Amino acid sequence: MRSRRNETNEESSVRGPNSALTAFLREQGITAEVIERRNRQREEQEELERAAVTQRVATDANSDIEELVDAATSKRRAADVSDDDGDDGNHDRDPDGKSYCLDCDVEFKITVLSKRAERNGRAGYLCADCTLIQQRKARNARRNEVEARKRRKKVAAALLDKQEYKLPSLQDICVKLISQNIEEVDAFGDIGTVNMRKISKILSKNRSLNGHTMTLFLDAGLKELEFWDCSNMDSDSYTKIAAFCPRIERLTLWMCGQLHNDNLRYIATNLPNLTHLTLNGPFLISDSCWQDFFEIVGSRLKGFHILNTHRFSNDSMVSLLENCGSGLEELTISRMDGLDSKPVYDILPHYLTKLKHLEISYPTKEELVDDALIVNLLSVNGETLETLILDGCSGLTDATLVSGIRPFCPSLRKLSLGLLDQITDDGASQLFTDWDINDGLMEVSLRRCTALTDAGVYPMLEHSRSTLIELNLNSVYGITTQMFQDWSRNLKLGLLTSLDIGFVQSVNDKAVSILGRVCPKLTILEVYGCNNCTQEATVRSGLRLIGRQTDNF
Amino acid sequence: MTRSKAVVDTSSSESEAGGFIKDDPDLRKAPKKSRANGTKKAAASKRTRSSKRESKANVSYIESSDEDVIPEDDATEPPLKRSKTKAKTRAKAPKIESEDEYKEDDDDDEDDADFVDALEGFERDPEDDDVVIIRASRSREGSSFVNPVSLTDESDLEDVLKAPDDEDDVPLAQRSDTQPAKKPRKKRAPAKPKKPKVPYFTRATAKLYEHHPDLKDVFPHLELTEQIKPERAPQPEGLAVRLLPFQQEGLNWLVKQENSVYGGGILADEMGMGKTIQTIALFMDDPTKKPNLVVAPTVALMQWKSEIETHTNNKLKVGVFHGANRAKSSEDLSEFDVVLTTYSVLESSFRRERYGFTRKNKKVKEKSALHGVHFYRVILDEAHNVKDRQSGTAKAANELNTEKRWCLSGTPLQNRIGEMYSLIRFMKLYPFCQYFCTKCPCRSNEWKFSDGRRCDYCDHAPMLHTNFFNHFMLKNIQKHGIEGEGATSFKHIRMLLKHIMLRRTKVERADDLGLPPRIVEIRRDVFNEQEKDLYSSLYGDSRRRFNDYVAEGVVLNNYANIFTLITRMRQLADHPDLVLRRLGSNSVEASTELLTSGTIVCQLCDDEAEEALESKCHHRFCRMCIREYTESFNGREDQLKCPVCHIALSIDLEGPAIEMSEQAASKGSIVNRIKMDGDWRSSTKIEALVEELYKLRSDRQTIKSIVFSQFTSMLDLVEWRLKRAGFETVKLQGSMSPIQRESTINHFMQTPSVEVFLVSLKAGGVALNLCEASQVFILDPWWNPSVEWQSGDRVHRIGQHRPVKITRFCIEDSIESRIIELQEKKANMINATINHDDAAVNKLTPGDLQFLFTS
Repeated sequence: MRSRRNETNEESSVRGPNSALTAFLREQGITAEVIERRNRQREEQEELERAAVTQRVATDANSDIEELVDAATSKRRAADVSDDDGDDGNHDRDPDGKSYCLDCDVEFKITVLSKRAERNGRAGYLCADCTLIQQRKARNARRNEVEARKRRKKVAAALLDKQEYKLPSLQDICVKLISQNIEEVDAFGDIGTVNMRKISKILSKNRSLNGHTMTLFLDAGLKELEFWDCSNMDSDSYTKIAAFCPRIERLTLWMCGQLHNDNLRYIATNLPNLTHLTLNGPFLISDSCWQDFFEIVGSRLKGFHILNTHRFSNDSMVSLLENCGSGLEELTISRMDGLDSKPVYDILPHYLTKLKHLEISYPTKEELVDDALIVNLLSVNGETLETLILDGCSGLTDATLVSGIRPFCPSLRKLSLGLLDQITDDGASQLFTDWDINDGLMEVSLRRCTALTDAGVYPMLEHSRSTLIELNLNSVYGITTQMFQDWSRNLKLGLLTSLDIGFVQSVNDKAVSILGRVCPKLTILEVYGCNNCTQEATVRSGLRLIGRQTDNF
Repeated sequence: MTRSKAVVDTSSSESEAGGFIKDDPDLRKAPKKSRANGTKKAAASKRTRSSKRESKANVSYIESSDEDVIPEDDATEPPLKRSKTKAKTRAKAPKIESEDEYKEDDDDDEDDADFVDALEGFERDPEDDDVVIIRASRSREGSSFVNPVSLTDESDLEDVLKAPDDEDDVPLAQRSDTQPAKKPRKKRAPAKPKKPKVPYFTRATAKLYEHHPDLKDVFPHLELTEQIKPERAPQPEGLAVRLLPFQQEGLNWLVKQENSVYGGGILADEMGMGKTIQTIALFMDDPTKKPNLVVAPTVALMQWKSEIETHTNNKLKVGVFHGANRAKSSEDLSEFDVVLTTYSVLESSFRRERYGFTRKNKKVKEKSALHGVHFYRVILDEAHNVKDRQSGTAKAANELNTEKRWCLSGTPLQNRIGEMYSLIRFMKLYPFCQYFCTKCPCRSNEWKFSDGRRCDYCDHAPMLHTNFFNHFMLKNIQKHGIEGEGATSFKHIRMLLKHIMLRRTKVERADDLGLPPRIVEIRRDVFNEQEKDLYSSLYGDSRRRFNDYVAEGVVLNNYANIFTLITRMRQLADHPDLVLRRLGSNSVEASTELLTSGTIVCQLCDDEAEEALESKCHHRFCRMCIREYTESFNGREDQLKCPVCHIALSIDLEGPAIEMSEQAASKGSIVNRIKMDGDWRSSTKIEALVEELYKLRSDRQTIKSIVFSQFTSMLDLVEWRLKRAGFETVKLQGSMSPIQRESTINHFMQTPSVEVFLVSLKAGGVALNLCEASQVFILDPWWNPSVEWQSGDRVHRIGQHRPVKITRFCIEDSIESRIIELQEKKANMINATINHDDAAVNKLTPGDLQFLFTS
């Protein structure tokens, strides 16, 4: 709302910041004619604006009278605009010089604080009480508007986290508060492992996990420890882990860019029960240290996951296989630039025999991982294998599917074939059509398998329709609307909860409503880059559509 | 300068017919042929060239405003006569070598300059519409000499061998002399076959030695002198940060080098290896040696300040000599331990002292506070800023009064070896930077020919003078490459560099640095249908025009136009709005409506602003948003920051609302033209970026990213889209002040929830330390790979503990995939061939262009 002061401001100067000189010139009446004409136009415009504002306030107020005369107002306003000569100072005062409040008609004295208003096309001022009421209303309206805009941002942000925007629970608030003041905390006391984990995650996310805060999580009886962002933990902290928690069996350290050789040796010798180790980014560990580590832990190592280091060399790998190979049940090697020897990859099947989890992803060169290697591995480990992740091994072809996965993998639950652009419909349909030894997959990723079309994807859906929980079909360009139609008429994916179908051009509003119907449990549907999926789509309640471009508005 | 160049040009067209093609890479055939076809006066080509020349001439004015400025007409006409008279005198002593060389020079001069400039013009241009671009490319022809942009920043000695420096005073003089010797030689060759066998170089050397016997010993002496072996220096007291082993060695070298005869040198460690810290360690090694002056690019200024303060625990008194209220007198400056300033301030205070400036219609000269101080040492950070020795900046740096001189640069050589000379000159390395007369013992630091004909010292003609560096180190490499005498010269350069330069690479010191792995990936996407339609129509149009040029044989004359075409296609691959908004009514989608309607976008709610207010730092908000923002702030009032640029907020909450004028709308950001009512369409590339960023989010880690693009409009769009999608972002623009820049960077580094940092490739390419981020997204491919490598170095540096990943976006069915192919070609070339002509790396050849337009 405009205050009276603003009004005068505008008389003298102009909208927008202006120099004193300009204002002065204006006052002197240079180009007076132009200015006058402009003034008149502006005042008309202001009148319009003011009317609009008044109207909004009026609707906020929801007063009955306002509604009644709404139509009349607009008519009057039109008239106003045409005959308003800018001397609206006459409106607010009766000819006798007394002022009456526009709302309650009480007689009052106009002060600078009196509020200007317009009712039924009449402009005037409000008495002190009514001014107060009006101000309160305006403030509320403004707050609502701000809230709405803010909430929209929060909703958007929550959507990014795959969450719904809702009031946090008391527990969450407490956890958050603790995390914010973590530097003041001396000990957690008995708050339970669930909360500990929550706090640990929040600290990692806030980047406040450091040498001090990490000690809060250490406990002599601890068997499992996960730190998700260790970038700020110095080398001493890693030693503390091993010193304070000798019974740890599973250790997960992400972003452990400061983990030194000595730390790893210390962990190897001081954690006698360690069976599962996950390290993301331990790029300071040297080749010889890896070899020492494997020699110390030997066959008690059951799970070894390593990602993102270029110092893990071919020799380290050989040492891993020789010392721990026979006991390994889980193995992850992802983005290992130091592993560049084909023969080393080729000896994997000789050592690994009882794998349940195997991930070989993003090898340095695509020829390092070929069909023969995977087929050999699967022939040995297939019986037990539950998880197979081969993202980015773009050297693989249909042969892996047909002669590897199909015959050897009865218990496979999770299959990820991201970025395998040589996989074709032939291979996929051969694999999934009547694949009876396997009861169905729970997680499938065919992300960026660009050669696939309906003919390859559909058999997979058919095969795993009753088990599939997560599905990723991002950038499988070959999917057409036909598939959604077939899907709609013949298939029901009862358990599917999460589906990523980004950058598939054929996804449109119809496809979204089909998916909502045939996948009753579906809660997350990612549609980035599907520009045909618009605001008009019918989205089943409970289903969250993430990445729709029009969600901005 | 100007005159002698003009001489070269006119005379060159005369003699061009004599076959020099064999010496040149075949890439250049096209332009040459067209010239060779002409008559002796080359009427046709002369016309086109003279137009180029005009712009060139302007260029020269800009660069050499102080010396020998000759009006243009003057430059073209009289020298003709002169060259003829010289031809006569020269005929007696025919010289063979210089021809090729000068042709090469000339040639390069021409193509290189025009082409690369055009390229730079485009690429540097923050605006992205064609009209502006053409204008920019023209007006920038000059400025890019004055302040050249590095196309290959990683370039090392080896890829800089082709180094014709178009403005070498001495060689130019020689050129104009030796040039016309060609024709006489042809006639005389049968008559006197033996005599001309003594090459010019040998004779000049002999003469030099004759009059300057001390020069003989320079290189043998260099060879015998032992170079400094860096050992590990102890950690200096009072330095808060622990030096890495190689940095300790660096410090040791710095100290020893400073005390050697050279009194300084070049610290050329690769980017991200802590040149700043080593320099600070040098300050701390003996804090009594002061004052020090650090000249840095504007963007790095505040970083220097904060690094000095944090690493020394405020033990050094740092003064920033920048901005309107900088110190006025030299005395004020001498009190500081370290004075920080920028190249532009240095240049302007020098200019004001030397040439004066106009105030109230009077010419006024002002004492330069910087040049009045006697510094102990001067450090040029990113010293390639003075690589053009003709520039005012270089001169201003040379004039500084100091005992020790240092250059810091991760890329001491960017394009050509000639650039090295500027550094040598700054460091005052005798005799390398001096001019010698071949007729008498005259030697000078400056090229002093006040009347243009006679040396001020010895009265000999300019042609008799030569520059040591040019003569012994540069010319032969230009002429022969790395063979024969070129190899000797190259050896000389190496020898000198070994004594004055310390360079360590990341690969060499990987163990010390403990750098994480760096993965580079290309994300390939395809257009959606609408984009594809749009693109193919634009592409068809562009290709037709390109083919017209090819048919008419005027490809080289139309670089600017062709680049407009290419730029448009690249922009279309980013987002159609970048192109459509200016194409006007004949575009596929009528965008006239967009043009006229501008909306003010609130930078808090990213929606159309209601009652927009503008803060002092020119950011706009809804009245209620900013009021809410200020009311909800709990801290001290003076800590209230602008939510966009994070400097102290100053805004009148009660002030009148601003309105969008039509003019402002067309000038303003592209976001102002977005229709907020839901009609706006994103593009494949923007969505791909949003998806990538979305995938990085998790409840247990914050992974921060930097997003690079060349087009600021693209960044505006991306920022808007990301903010509306719920991301917290900050943006760095070239227009920001150092303080805004610093606070923006700090905000990003210190706030965990701010995940995305948007930078334009040019604004953020150098001197930016963002190791809190570990992901880099490059939205549009660049012509050559080194700029992208460099952007990766923003995060891949000391202090980075997270694995680094660089993702480059590429739209598969657009021109981008071809650009990437070209880029890979160049990367291979850079990697595989050491002594390769880097000119080919720097610019697009006609063949490359052809490649871009083949389907």
